[in-house]
Amino acid sequence: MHKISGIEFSLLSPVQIKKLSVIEITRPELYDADGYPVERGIVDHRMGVVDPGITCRTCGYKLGDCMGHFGHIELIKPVVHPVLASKIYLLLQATCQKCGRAMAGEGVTGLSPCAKDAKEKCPFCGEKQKKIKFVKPTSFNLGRDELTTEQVRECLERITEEDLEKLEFKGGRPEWMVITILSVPPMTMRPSIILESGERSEDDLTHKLVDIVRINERLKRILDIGAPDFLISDIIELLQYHVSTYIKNDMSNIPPARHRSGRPLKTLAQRMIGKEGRFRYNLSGKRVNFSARSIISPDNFLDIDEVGVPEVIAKTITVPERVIDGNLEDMKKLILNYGNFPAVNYIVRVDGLKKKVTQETKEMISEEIMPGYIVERNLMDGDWVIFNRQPSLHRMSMMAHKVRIMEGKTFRMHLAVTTPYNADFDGDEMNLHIPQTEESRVELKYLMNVNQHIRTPRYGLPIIGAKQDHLMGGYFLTQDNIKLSIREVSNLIMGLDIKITLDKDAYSGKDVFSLILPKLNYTGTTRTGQEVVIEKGIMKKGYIDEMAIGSEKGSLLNKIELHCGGDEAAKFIGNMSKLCLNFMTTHAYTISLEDYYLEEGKEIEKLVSKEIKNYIKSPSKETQSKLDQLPKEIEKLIKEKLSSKSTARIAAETGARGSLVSVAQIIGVVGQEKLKGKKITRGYYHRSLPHFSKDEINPSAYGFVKEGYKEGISPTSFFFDSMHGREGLSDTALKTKHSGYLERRLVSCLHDVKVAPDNTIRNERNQIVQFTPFENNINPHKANKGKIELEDIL
Amino acid sequence: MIGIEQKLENYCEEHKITGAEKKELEKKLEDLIEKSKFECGEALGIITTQSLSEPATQMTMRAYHFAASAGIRMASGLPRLIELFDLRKEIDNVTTIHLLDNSRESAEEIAKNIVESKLNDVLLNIYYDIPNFQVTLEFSGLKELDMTLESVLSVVKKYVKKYPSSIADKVINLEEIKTYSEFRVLKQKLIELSIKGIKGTKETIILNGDDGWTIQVKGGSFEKFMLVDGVDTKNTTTTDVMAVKSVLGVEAARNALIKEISKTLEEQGVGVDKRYIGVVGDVMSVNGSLEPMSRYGLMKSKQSVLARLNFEETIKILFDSAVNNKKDDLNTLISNLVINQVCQVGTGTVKLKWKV
Repeated sequence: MHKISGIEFSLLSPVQIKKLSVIEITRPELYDADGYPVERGIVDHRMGVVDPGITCRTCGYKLGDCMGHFGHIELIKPVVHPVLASKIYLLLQATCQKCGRAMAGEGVTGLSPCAKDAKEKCPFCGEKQKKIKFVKPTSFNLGRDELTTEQVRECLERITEEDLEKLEFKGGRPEWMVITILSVPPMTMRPSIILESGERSEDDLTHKLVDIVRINERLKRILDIGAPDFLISDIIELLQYHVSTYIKNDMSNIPPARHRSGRPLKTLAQRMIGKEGRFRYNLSGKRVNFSARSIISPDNFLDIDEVGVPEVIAKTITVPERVIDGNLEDMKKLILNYGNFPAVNYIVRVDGLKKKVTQETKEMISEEIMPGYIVERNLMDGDWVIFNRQPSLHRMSMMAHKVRIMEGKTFRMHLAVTTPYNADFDGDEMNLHIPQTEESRVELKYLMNVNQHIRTPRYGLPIIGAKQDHLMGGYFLTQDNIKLSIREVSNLIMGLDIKITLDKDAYSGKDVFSLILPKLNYTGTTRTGQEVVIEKGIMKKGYIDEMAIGSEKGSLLNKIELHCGGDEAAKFIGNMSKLCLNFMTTHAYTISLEDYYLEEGKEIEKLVSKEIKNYIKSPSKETQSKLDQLPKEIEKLIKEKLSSKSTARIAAETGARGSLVSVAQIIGVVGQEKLKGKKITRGYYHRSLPHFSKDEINPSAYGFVKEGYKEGISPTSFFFDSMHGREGLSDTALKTKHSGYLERRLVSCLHDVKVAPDNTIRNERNQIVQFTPFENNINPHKANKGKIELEDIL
Repeated sequence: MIGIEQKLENYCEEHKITGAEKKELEKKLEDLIEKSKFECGEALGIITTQSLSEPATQMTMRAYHFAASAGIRMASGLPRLIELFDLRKEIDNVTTIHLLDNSRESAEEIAKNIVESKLNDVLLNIYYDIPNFQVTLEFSGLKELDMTLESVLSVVKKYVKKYPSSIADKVINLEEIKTYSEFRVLKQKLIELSIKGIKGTKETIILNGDDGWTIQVKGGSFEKFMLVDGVDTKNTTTTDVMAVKSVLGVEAARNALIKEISKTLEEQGVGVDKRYIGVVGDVMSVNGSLEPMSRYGLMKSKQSVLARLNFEETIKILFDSAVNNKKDDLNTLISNLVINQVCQVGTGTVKLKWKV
């Protein structure tokens, strides 16, 4: 295959347009009475075919093989190119109206500088210059007279090659910007569609071309019969309008050409621009084959780098496998397995011919294959695939997993990998992409593999780790009072990837957790500040919580990843998740009203009403800040007084779910509801709701909710609470738009910045951005928090 | 800061580790450093973008917060981040002025002097004699601003001089003004005339923080603050990156930009490695001046036509490229993507010698 090494942009000359063209279009009709395209009409079959069964009259190919051919229209009067009119204006300003020389002084180069520097009197021929005015969109006035397009073209023709160099006009001759021959795009670019009613519906471009040809022909006729000038100029203007809107249909000063229904036509420029345009939609966003999409559901018995794939999908999607001596027999077996799973859908012969495997041909084909053939077999266990969830905000949104064929129709994934994908199981769908070359399979296995992406490059900590019930399980399991018999332990470690012999009579919870730990030393603290000690892989002290194994935080996990590598860490996460969830099956927990019971409930009430009274007595900054501090005070109180058996508290403190702030809001007081960071003051005249008197001092009238969720909040408080909630919802809706655009801009500006072979950071122009990548050449994806610390090697 | 090698040295000394054991540790460290290095071809720009914009989706939309509980409103969150990448100019910037002699008195003195006072602030009344085009001023509260009648009038005189007029005592005769509309415009301008302080300075707050007495100023001109006597120019900072650029140069502006971005991210509590922000700062200042991350800045200076075509203003760029006979050498990721070729990044930077 040839490699394209560059793309050059320039203007098309009339000669080139003619060379490209296979036919001159002269008739505005589309089809004759029999429904056959009119000879030299706009849908002439010489410009390609869009209907099945018909052959192209230029190349002889049929639909799909004929890529289409250009035609052309010879315009009776030239027409100014609507987009390039501003360039023409600059050229007219910069050159003499008589001799066509560029009038700018010595040393002045470039189009606009030359236009600005143009003299009033031509330094070459001495002609006094008249004032040129650009009448938007496409006409020019010289003095008082309007220039005809022929005159404009003549002016541009006069400019010499040397002067063009001075003017830095490099894309061709300037007179090409005045269109004399209009290129007609091939039919494949503007296919007509046949509606259900049997009617033909033509493309917008075809409609516009009909207009152009019709006016062009009328102009020809009218010139032939020698019509009055005003009639002719009207028709010329109309031709200009049609050509202008054919090229760009959303220019200011020109009313857009419309369809009969009133919808503006989508012409050439509109096809290219914007998110749904050719560039962003088709050229930089490509559709792919060999992909699948389904709803996801959790499966704790998978490894974190596995994905459960339904058999239906596995049967449809194929993996090309090259036949070699080593796998010849296996491949034969697969082919003979037709009708069952796994089987082979197609084979590709050495000469590239593709054959479908069927019940009848399976024997023949299995005899036929030999090294060099490619077998397109079903997806099988152990194949590497890319798993993806949108929005793909970071590279961990696309990771490589190993396939596990499963029953059912959903994709199954491990719970711990929900964090990088930001997935949940409330109906989320995810995509699967199956690599089709050996090279890509290797890249998947060694570079995109989940195990390689446990540590995020953003801040250098594991992003994959324990969540929710894992943490609750870990907490209950590693409590001091847990005693387990051998039987219980063997139930717990069922399905784990460890090799041990159980030789003790009784195990403590910490002993069981130690079974899955690598031989490491670790000291850390829990969220509540207790010490956790692990010596040589034996857990001695403390309990397991978010700070040890949680996703995005876990320091124990961090250490395992750092010292033992990603594979070991992945194994640990898998074991941990199974162990913790197994434990939860026998030591379950629940959350009830009891968990929110506080002996000192009355105290809180008193505290709240006291602060409110204080504020009403003297509304000042101090009393206000006291009010603001209330939820924090109550949180402190809860920390001291709430029973340590309260599961709501445990869930919050282990990082499994919720926070003490919300516990405080349930037990104590919801606190100040805010809109745009301020108290709620807007609403009615001098009051937020009609339930309050005007200019009330009571904080309750400005969104302070003095009740807790447990006892229930008053109707006005509920209203304020909803206001706050609504702000949050609209905020997130607006935010995505802004942050999406920010990301797009950042990507566009930064995507070419990369580490060059000489270990510097360079951009696309080979400018050095940083001499040492990242100041110290330490990749945060590989180092603990992006740093190298002494403890990492001890 | 001590390097990691030195730290190891100290550790060995402290724990009396020598000989083979020490050698082993050194080897371990070396291996770890080698392992942690960047690989050639790493698409660092993309990773940087992802590391910054992924947390940006979690940031608040709330545009302002109050700095140091003192009451000066500062832009924050996602809007502030966008502002910084855009290098927008017309924002309410906050300048933190440090003082040479670290005392409350001098802070108050300077704060008083830099706050802008308008003529309106010292006017008790203003009378317009419309038929004669005369303005009579009546002052009050001059003392509070430490100003005399003469000094105010001299400022007014200076301004009114632009219009043919005379000023006698407190009466301004606008002789040559003939139309009412002209008079009305002047009248408005007169009220808003800056008579004292630095133009645009809106609020000042004196703080006593960890680094001594500082003045936080909203608005105003960073350049002029730097010229005020008694201001510690070494430590005075502003949130206006472009002002830093024009006063102190690109390097300082780069640092200021990095500082501002990290501050914005830290406030939101999102963890991003600081060196990513460094990359952004370096990219934005690579051409010797600070360029915004938009079609007017960094995108404009890209040579690849296809890359710019894909961003914004497709038609304009397409025709400009045609007229100027531009070439795309296909060395950006996006241009290779458009024409279906392997991008020169990551494993695409190298060719596989042995075709499988």
